[in-house]
Amino acid sequence: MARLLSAANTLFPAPSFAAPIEWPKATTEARPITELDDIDALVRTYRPRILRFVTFSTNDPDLAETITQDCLLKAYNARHTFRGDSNVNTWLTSIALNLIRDHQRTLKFKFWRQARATAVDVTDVASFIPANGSSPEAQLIAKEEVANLSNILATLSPNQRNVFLMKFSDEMELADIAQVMGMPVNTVKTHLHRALKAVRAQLGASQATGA
Amino acid sequence: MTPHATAHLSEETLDDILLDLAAPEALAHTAACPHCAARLESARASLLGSVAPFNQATLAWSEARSNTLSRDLSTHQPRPTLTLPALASYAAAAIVAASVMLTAGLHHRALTREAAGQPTLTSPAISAEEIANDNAMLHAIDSELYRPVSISAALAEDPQAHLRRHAQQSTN
Repeated sequence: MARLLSAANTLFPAPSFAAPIEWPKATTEARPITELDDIDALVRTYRPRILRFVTFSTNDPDLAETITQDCLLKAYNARHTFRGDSNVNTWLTSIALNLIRDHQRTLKFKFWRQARATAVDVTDVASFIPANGSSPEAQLIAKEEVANLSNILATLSPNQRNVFLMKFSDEMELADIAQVMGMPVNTVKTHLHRALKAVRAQLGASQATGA
Repeated sequence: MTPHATAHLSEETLDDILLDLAAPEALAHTAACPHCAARLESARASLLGSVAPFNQATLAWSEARSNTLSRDLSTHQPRPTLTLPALASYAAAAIVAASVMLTAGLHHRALTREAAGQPTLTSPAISAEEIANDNAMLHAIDSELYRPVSISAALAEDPQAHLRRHAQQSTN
């Protein structure tokens, strides 16, 4: 049996854990010092937005924290490859989305089902509505809207949810969204249309029923 | 013909406007058509009425959660990711191992049964008495086949009775 296992190891070597991210080619030109060189500034400026995107893309806050840290670490370690052809947020979102897709690919090969430990607590998220001097009734309505839209986003397909978040939460341009998604602009438009149609339909239904 | 007398904007065109993808003609129509302008305003208010508080709350929530995370990324251990070829290697190795174990298990079970002297499944144990009865029956059949009798008598007589009689004669 030991010889058979050793033969199996020879025929099928242990897998590598390399991250399948294709980095842009390094430039030979001297790169000016940018915000990417200050890791504290990088974390302070971009981590909340990346964390929000990953959280509502995966609907798993614990996983989102790990992916966000992975994303920032990879970006910092590969900052010399950033050519500046897109803004930093687009670049970081692209890295984060690649990490999300890697995680989802790994999940497909799990034959057993694991109960997900946590999902986004929409009530907790809605409680972060700023007061801004509004009345308690207005705040309550706003909290309901937050919870409602969170639940609606969870019903969208992954592509629809991602493009919707990038468009309406991160306010990214269509070309940047297409670059992050790795899709043609027309395909992104299709996903945006479907996402918006679904969101508007469910918002309209919930407003009609007073939910 | 005034702009508002033409067909109104479709829902898809309204979505284009909300997505900042509309053609200039559509924007010009909403400026000239009170009906479509009202539809657009209603759709925009419904959408932004949810998106705006969602963005505020989720960003504030995310900032609060981000502040609980370590700022020292050098201590973070990246999650391992498996590539497709690696997973295929795992699956192939598992199949080979399962086949080997199954074969070894079957062989071990066969050796164990043989050592315990258990009878094979090909032929059941037959007693001497059964063998003698079978031989008597075969002898009776043989005798009946070659006994010189008339055809009418053979047809009238019960063949089963013949066999029973001859079997009894052989055993007595």
